Amino acid sequence: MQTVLHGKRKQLKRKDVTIMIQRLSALETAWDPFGEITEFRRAMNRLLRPGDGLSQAYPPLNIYANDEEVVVSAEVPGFDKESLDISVHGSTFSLSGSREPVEVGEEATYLREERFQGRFNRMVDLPFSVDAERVKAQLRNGTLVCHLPRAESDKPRKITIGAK
Amino acid sequence: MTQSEKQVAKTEETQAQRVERPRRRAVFSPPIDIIETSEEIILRADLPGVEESSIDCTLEAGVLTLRASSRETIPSNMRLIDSEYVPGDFERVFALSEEIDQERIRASVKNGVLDLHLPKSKAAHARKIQISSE
Repeated sequence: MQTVLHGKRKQLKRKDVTIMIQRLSALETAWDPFGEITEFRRAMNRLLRPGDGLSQAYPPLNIYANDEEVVVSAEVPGFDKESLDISVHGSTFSLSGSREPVEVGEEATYLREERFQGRFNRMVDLPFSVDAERVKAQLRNGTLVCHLPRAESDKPRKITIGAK
Repeated sequence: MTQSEKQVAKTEETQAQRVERPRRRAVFSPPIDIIETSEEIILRADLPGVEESSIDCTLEAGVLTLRASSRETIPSNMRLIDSEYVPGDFERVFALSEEIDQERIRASVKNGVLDLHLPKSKAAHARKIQISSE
């Protein structure tokens, strides 16, 4: 399958196949569709990792959530906080940025040019609306971490039943 | 990317995988820009999530090895709903054809990008023979 998809990829390793079979047999015993799908997706992403030409949108994101907030982390090496733009509208999170090629002068030549250049814009639909006022973002070692708290208006409310 | 470049990248990866690790981690080949000037070779690598202390660069017998490892702290009490990257080790090996002045190598890290300045050695400069046309 791998070779058909992309010539450069190596063969599917026996280890990976074993993991997939284990996952499939685990499906029969305890069926947690979403957990399994996420895990399977992770395994596939690991196989088709960025830089292989088959990679997904730039930059890669990881999204975590609980009932209170969503955390979005992104690998954005070489971007400083001025060149990144985060915006939130309802339950839509968008991240954009640009990285211009470094001017190297006349006598310099690029022997390799593999790093991302140009503009990107990613939009993600979050599981709930977030409070844009309380969004916090931190950039460290080329990784951006955004904390997006759930909007109060979106939280489930307990309704008391009045008895007459 | 041309076909020949693809083959080069392929060799690199198999070479990198020859070194086994005690811990089972994904090994990535980081994207790299290489710029050459008359004075030096500049190597710029994307190493997101890498602490400065975990970067290991060695130059031995004309072979430059770059190793680093990234980590990500998973927020507690949260479930992962989408994953497009995983933390892992970075590794790339280059055979340099130019002679490098090892004493003057400079390295710096900023925002997860490693900048490696490899000055060409004076001896390599001196050996260049000027050819004059008659």
